[in-house]
Amino acid sequence: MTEPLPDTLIYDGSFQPQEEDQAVRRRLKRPPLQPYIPDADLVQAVELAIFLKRPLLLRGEPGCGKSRLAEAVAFELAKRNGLDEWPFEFWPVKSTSRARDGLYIFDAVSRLRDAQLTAARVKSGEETAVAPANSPEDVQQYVKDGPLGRAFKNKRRTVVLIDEIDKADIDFPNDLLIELDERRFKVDESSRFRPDGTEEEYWVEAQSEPIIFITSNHEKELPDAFLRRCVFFYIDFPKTDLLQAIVAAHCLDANPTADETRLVAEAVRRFELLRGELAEGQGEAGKLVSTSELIDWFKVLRHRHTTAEALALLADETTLPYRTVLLKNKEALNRYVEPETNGQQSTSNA
Amino acid sequence: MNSPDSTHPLYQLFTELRLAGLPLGIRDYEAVLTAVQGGLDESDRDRLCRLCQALWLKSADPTLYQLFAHHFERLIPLDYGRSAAPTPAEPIDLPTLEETAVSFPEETIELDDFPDDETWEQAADPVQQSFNQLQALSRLADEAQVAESSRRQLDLVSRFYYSFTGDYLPLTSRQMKQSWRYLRRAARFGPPVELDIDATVDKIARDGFLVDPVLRPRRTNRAQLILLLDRDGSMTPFHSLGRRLASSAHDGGRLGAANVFYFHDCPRDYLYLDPHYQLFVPLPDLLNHVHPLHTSVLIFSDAGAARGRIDEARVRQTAVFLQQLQTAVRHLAWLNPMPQTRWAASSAGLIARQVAMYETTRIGLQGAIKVLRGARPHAQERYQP
Repeated sequence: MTEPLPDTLIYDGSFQPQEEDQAVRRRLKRPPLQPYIPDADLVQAVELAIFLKRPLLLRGEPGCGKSRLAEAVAFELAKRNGLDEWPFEFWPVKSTSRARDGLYIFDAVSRLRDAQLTAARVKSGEETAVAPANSPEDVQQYVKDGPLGRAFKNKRRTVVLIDEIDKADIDFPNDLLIELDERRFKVDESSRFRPDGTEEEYWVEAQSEPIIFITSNHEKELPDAFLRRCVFFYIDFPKTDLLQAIVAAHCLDANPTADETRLVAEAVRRFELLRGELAEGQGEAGKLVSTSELIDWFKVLRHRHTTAEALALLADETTLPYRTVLLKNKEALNRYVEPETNGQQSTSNA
Repeated sequence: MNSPDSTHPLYQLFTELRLAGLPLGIRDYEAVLTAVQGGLDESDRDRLCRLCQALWLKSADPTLYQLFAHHFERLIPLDYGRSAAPTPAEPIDLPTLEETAVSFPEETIELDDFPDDETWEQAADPVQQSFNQLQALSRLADEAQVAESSRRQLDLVSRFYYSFTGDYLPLTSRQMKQSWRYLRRAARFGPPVELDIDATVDKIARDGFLVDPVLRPRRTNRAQLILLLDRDGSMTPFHSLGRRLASSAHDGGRLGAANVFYFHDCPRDYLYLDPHYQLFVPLPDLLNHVHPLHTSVLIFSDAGAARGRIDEARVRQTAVFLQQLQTAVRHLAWLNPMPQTRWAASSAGLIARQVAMYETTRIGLQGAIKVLRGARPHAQERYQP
């Protein structure tokens, strides 16, 4: 029967990037990695996806960390396997993306140009007539692997992030079904018809099963045939203690002082208060403040003020410092005022 | 033949969810089994719950979670995992399951792809499902159960008298969205991003050399829909259905544009922009602005069928309105929330002779969309008074 997952393929959020990891990333010319703190349910969903070799479809509010998860998983797998870097492929989907772009891109224009150059040289007598370069190997040089194509060719189980899949055409997910199911794809341009009419097909077979994360903002309903091949997870908005842990992981040192911890708690409290008020005021339609905005807001507070000052600022509930970091529409901005100590003009709040 | 252990709680849960209309196939059951046998649930009831949710629900819809929780609490014993082994004593051998799976259709939800009842019966034989349950299975969609029960309720009621029975939802939004996708009128529009091979070859032939490939805009859906919703009076019980039509056309349809207008009883020479009749637009103004080739109009109204009598003034007025509309747009269809059996002795029967009128069911909506795409309604599909 099926073997349980080996330790080297487990993700539970127990590895967070340290200074030496960031140094490794700089050496590899990768952007610095941010900490990622998953809750237990999410860990289970990731485990399930890796184990069942199915893509993990992530949904959730904007800014809740859908897209960050994949890189965090890749980082942890690298640590667990004692590697500098685990193979990671990022495929940002655009409204013009086609499913095939993720597998490979065929550079038809270059091929035409090369063919024409050869023809021109033959014509001008520089070269003698050459046979047309039509063998699969000749054609293959114009094939460039896409993110999923590279992942298929890697012997390790590459982490692939297919970001915002709902931005593409409605047929896009369905076009990927066979590739995700059978983990192989055909390069049409390199396939040839033999003289007897049968097709000599050029297939790329996956060397390993990629670990695929797919994010969706739910702008469109995804097709059922696609959904049933995925493991689904809705990233809920984090609870208070998880929010505090996330802020602390992003903004504080390993050993924060008591005041700093208090500041985190206070900032999260004000943030949750604000979120509740916004949800009440604008219902489902409006944009709520997200985790990523909380982190930005906290960074500004820390950057501009000492811990004591920041605590004092937050204690005054009639004002909201640096509201523009959190609030993105005029109605919400009008409801909150900046404290006067920011040096900004403030009006009295009813 | 070795069939899955039908007494196992997980299997019962799976069957219940399928009966409730979730689009699950035997492979989804296999997936959970594989995970459980791989030791992923660690015999923990909560973890098992989330595992099944992740593999079977695939939605953030709270009603689905409620449905799931209800069946999960009922079927999975509280001491699950602590008692005997979580899986059947001897693990189900997967090849057998695979065999069973062959007779299950892979894409249970494809629109026109429902297997005939025989296939289902065959497939379900080991599952011991009655024929009635099979019929329920063919209506696969998220809130199908709600839809089904309200439909049955109305069928029953409408045989004797008419009454307000709360929300009537014979069609789920997912079914609507899937149907809207068929409303396409592709045209090249937007930035030139696609290689135009013919034009490129032609240019090479004229220039003698490839200088630049010729690009052209991609084909996009330019279909514009005007949805006319009848409000209030006899349409009151169908308000949520109308809202659902409007929102599904807007969000899920990939339409070029979907505009909603409102009227009461019978569309006249002006239409309202909001459901409370505050803002209106004169019909000629509206018709001057629509694209004659890309626009189609769908009217959602009971056409007097709910009242069950013939109102000649209403029929005449509707006829005038339809004529006006037909001068400006090419394709026109009518969705009637009342069952077809109720049309005959009412104004609806007469109006249905002038326009392609369909029941508000999945088949009906598909028929209406076919007409909006330009197909002639099939003689059998069309309402015969």
